Amino acid sequence: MKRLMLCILAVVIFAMVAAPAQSQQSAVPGDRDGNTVVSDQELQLAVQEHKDGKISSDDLAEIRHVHDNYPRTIKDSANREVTIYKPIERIAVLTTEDYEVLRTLKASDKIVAASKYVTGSNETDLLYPEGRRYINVGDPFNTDYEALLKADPDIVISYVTNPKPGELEKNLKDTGITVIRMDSGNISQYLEDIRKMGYILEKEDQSNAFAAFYNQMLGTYLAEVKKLPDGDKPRVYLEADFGSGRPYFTVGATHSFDEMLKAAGGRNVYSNITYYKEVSPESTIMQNPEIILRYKYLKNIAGLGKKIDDTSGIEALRNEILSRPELKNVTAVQQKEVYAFTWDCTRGGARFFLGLGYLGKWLLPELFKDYNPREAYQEYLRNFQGLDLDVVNNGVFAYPEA
Amino acid sequence: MNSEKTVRGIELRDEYQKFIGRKVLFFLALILGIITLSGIAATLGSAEISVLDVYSAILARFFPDYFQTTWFAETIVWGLRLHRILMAIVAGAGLSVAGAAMQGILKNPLASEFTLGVSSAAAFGAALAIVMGAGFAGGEFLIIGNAFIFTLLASFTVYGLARYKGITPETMILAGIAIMYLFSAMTSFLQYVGQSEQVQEVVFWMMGSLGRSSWDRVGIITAVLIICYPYLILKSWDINALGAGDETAKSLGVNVERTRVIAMMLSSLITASIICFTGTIGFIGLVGPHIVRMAIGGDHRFLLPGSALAGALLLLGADTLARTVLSPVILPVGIMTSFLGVPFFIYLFMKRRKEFW
Repeated sequence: MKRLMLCILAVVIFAMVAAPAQSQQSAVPGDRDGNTVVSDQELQLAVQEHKDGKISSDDLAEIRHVHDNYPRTIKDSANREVTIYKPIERIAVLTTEDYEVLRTLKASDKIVAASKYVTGSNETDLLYPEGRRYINVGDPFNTDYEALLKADPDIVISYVTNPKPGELEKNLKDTGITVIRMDSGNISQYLEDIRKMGYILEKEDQSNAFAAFYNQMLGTYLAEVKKLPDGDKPRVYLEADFGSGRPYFTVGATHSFDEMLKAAGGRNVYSNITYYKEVSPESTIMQNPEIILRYKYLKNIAGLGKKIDDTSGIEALRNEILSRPELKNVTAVQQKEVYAFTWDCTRGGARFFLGLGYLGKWLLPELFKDYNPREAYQEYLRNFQGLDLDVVNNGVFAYPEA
Repeated sequence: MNSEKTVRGIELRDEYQKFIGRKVLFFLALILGIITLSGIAATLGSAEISVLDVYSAILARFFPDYFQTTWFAETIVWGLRLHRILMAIVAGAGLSVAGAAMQGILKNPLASEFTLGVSSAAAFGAALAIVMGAGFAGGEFLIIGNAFIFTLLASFTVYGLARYKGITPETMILAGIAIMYLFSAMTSFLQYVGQSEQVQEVVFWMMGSLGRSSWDRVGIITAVLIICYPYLILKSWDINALGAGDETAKSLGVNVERTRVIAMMLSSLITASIICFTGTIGFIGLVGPHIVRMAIGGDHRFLLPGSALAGALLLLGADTLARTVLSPVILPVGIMTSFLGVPFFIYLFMKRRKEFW
């Protein structure tokens, strides 16, 4: 009974919050029949009204703009058609990846709400200095729907699987807020995602500029990797350790780290497992990898804010693998082909310019000879993120530096 | 008349011996099971070393003149398999004994490291290190140390609360459950504020695994067991007396409070020293003792060693399956303990209709 009462109360509160948000949704300018599209006829009517002095030149220009450019439809990463009927003015972005994409597209002036990592975390000061301005809507795993509705965005961007498919859509039903789900950490569709976002935000010039930069910086190398036969790619064991210090957790097919590894020219010895699992040390010895990569989230031990030579923490990661008795006779350990990289190499744009770059240099040093991960990341941060950070002479991201 | 008495006496003696005999038989079966399973487990694994090579590698340590081994077999067997097998045996034994002792002194079939808040305290300690901790430098030891300290902290709090209210089994269980909820809530809070990768790791920690075993850790747990276990065995008569009620136990000369507190602390110490290395492995501490109780009854002189053997066998079997069934992937052992133990538990439960507690 009590639970029922609570449920009813929750529904009532939700309806109260949702209702004003819905009413705040402005209609498509110039659309008279309510079909969200400005037809030729409706444009003519607006021209007439302008002549009669009923609407201003600005209003007419806006209506003409909508008539000429909208609706705009894209297919998001969840493979759903998303249609935008008028210029997007307000954006809520739940992921840090897409937050960076919006900065890349020079569309951050439209952001009204962002994830808790952007609005106030230990990265905020360095990486998201403007973040405190936005409404905190939690993150894709724990979304604050009230804050989201209060922010009253036109669109909300999140991951494909989080919040759970349907949850975000259900909670925002009838509010007029369009949900777009993107997979912007996925190398295979990164540029495509940026192009799509550029299209619905009318930022095609920016998305083209970024694509040119990306292709010039990294794309040419990745294209070369693709041409290599499998036999020329090293066999890699990637130990991904997300915080507890437990060894022998690795990633397999369907994990974004596996995508990264493949793109950088490695063959994952555990490509036959899926996602993120514990594997036996025995089978790792049997696989005899030529290179071992170790990933770890290193809070306060690595990252942007560290001095470049403050590498003891990340060195310890590598040394621990080198000193495991059971791996002593594994090729990678014997030849000291063991490398460590941190979360700072895998978030947002860093995943490509820094992470992929380091992986490439370790796995295929000849091919990536002229690539410099720090310089590429520096240019990305300066030119596309508007951040004046020196990552060439500062920061600890990977060890040993290639 | 006299001869009648003698016959009666012989009958009784026979009956008692049969009674003891059944228990001894049960123990022997368990010991044999553990030895056999260990022998088999040592030969199972992704490395696909032949049985002969495995045993050569084992025996080469003891008789280097008679047995030859390769570096590879030596590494796999001594470096990876054997300590894990022993870890399963000592951890299973320890958790099960601790559970049996807790159930006995609290006279409650539901008492276990879970219901007394010990596990959730350990999980909170680990989560605190994972989410808030400084990371690798102190990393691993930070997590282990935190889990250990919080486990003991929870026990002392439960004891303190119960003492304040007067130590009865009910107050201890109630205090334990309150503590469990408190720590669970705090862990959830940490998961809420943590980064998604840390949250995932907390979840993995709470699932428990023997993947972190090493000879040192087997040694530490064994040492703790060697220190704590004899006291519990020594007090098994007293724990039996507690079962008849505190008043009765007191009248039999048992120092009820002291026994309860010391046994409780030792059980917590055993549990803490195990789960700080393995993460929370549920179920063994609850069901290991119950299986033995259903098989040979509730006399703690037999129940405590029996629980140790049953727990060892259960965890060893579960871990062997966990690391071989989907090889090379290793499943969390907690999943397997439940898969193995629950059907067996239900079978015993159905078969023995009478009240066993």
